[in-house]
Order: sequence, then structure tokens, then C-alpha cells
Amino acid sequence: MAEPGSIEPLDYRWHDDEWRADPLSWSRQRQDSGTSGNPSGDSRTDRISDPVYQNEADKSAAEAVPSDEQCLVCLGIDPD
Amino acid sequence: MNEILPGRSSHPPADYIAETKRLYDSLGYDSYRWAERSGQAPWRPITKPLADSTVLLIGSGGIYQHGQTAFHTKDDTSVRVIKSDVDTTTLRTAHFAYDQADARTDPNCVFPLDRLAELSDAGEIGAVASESYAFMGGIYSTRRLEAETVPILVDRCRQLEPDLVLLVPV
Repeated sequence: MAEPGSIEPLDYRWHDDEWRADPLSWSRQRQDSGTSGNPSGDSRTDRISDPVYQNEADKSAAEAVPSDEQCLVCLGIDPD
Repeated sequence: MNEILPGRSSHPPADYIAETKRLYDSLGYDSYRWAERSGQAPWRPITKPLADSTVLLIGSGGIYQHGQTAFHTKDDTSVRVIKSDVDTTTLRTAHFAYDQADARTDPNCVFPLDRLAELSDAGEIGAVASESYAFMGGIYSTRRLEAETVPILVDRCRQLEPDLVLLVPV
């Protein structure tokens, strides 16, 4: 590769590579079937302005840390 | 289980820009508006052998560490600093735009710190930078991404001076 904008495929592939033939078919199928919501087990969430913790223990651990210390590791967060 | 096999795929790389436009058209939506840049990205060819290079990881999969504040999911432009020697079982995900089931089983799916450490141990790369950075992709405002997130990442990278940055979009 000697210039920007080019793609160099690696010499590897997934064991089942047929998804590449129609990579967004899963989305159309979901729409066609009327299941526009998240499928069972899918962990996607709505867009909200509060932190979305993976579990309650994470939330408790984070809230136990003073906000001024949080900002040492959470760049960009307004402590207020 | 998804296995990786030797040999190239018989399919070309997925053209997600064209595919997304096709999907939106098929659903009757307005055309998806991709952010576009008029100029060409600056070309930075690798000048050192990989085996001598320090690699820094940046991922947009919404990774945070137990004890850190999780990302919110509405244009959160903040960044989490992850020490690269972290126990990756303490890494978590917060994201609205992908199914996190696999990443929550193995964060390396979206933040391959253990894989980089293995490459370092094997001598394939010189070292892993002492810090890695995580943010939440799916920021709808390109302006805020450029004004708030990118300067943080650039500043941290300049301080650590890695030879290479591995960007893992999710």
C-alpha cells in the first residue's frame, strides 16, 4: 500500500464468509418481518443522556469515586 | 464459533457506504448523509519495522473500566483512558448502536488489548503504548466529534508519541 484510499485485503477470511455478499440483509429482514425492535438478547439501548452501565455493580463503583478523581480517567466529562 | 481461516475471501470488501444508501432507499428513508471531506487524508507511510514500533489502541466501542463512569448514549464526546496492562475482565461496554453481547463476553472483540499484548510478547510489534483510549462512536454531531473528542485523543497521543495508532471502529 503506497497511497491513501486503497484497501489491501488480508490473506484471511471468516469460516462463513457469505455475509459479505449482502452485509446489511439482517437489517432488511428485520424490517420486512415487522420486528423493528431489538431481537431477543440484543443489548442495544435507546440514546439517553445518563450513563448506561453494564451492571449495577459498575454504577455503584463509579458513583463511589469522587467526581474530581473521576476526571483523571474520564476525560471530557463535566464533573457537574 | 467464528473462526478465521487462511486465504482471502471470495467476496470483495463490504462497501458499507453504498450498502447503507441502498438500505435507506429500500426503507423509504431520506438518503443517509455521510460526513464528507473534500481533501485527501494526509498520507503517513510506516517508517519503522512493526517489530520496533510502539502501538497505541483507540477504540470507539464504548469501552469503560469498572470504577469509571460509563458513557451515556446521546452524543457522549468524552474519552476513557485505559491502562494497557489492565485486566481486561474489568472492561465493560456502553453503546446504543451495536449488540454488545459478544463484546461483553470478550472485550477484545472491540478493544483488542490482549491480542496486542500477545503480538508484543511474540515480537510481532515492539510494544503496546502504556495507555489506550476508548470513546463511544455513534456521535451524530461531526462538529462536536471534531471539536471535543478528537483534540483529547490527539493531545494524549502526542504525549505518548507512539509509532502507530490502531483505530478500531465499532
